[in-house]
Amino acid sequence: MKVLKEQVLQSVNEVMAQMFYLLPDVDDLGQQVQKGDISGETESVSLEISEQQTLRFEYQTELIALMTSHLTALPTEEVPRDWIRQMPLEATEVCWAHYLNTHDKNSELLLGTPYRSEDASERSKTPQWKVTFQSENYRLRIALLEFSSNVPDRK
Amino acid sequence: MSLDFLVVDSSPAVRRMIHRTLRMGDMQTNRVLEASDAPEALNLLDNHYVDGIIAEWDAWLDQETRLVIWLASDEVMHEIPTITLLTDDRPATIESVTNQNITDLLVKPFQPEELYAKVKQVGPYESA
Repeated sequence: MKVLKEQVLQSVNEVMAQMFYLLPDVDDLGQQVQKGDISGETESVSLEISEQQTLRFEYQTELIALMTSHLTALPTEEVPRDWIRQMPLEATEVCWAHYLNTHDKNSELLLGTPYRSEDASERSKTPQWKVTFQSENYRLRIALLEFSSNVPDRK
Repeated sequence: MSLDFLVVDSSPAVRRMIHRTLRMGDMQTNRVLEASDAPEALNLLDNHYVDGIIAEWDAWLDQETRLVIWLASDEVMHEIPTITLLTDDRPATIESVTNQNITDLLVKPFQPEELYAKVKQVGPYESA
């Protein structure tokens, strides 16, 4: 089973459209896909989608702070640090797992509970592809990791 | 009439969002108690009367017992209007939830307006 980029892209489109109160505004073109790295501090969360594959979500900490601010109506500077630490887990489970689910017509995805990307077992996985999204000045990168013994065609 | 609510969710940001929603418009909310897990929720329920509960499906009392299922089966607690928050809305999950007599569901992600409407629908406003 392979997770197609298209499935992730569709999910991002829906998250951007339906979770507008959570994410920074996007321009008329919708979400922007950009090449390049994420700079500055980040928070990473992983989501197992099969025994071999993991989706890793890397959020700019500033983006997470803004999302938490939008959710709680607290000014960004007043959002407690531990809330910012927890928000990527909540956002990944609620937003991404939910919308990935929607496109998983054949119920092929495992979609376990998201966890912080500090697990040593992840280091044995090889990135197959990564996409970066930009909303205003903030970035989120999603990467598909897979055990290197089972490397598929790159999508 | 002023109402007291209990909100049970592991995320403090989500609890705050729900807390804010319960104070929207004509909610008549007096007090919103917050618990981050099921044992904390039970402790609050032991010491406070509440008119309504909003709790996540994944709040566990122990390895086998979900808080919302325990509430639904308790002879006193089952009378408190309870909204269960789900993150997984696949048909098999919904079926397993409703089979436990858990029928007032709200699937994350939801917007404050959706929660507001659900609370107004489920009560305790029906008897107010």
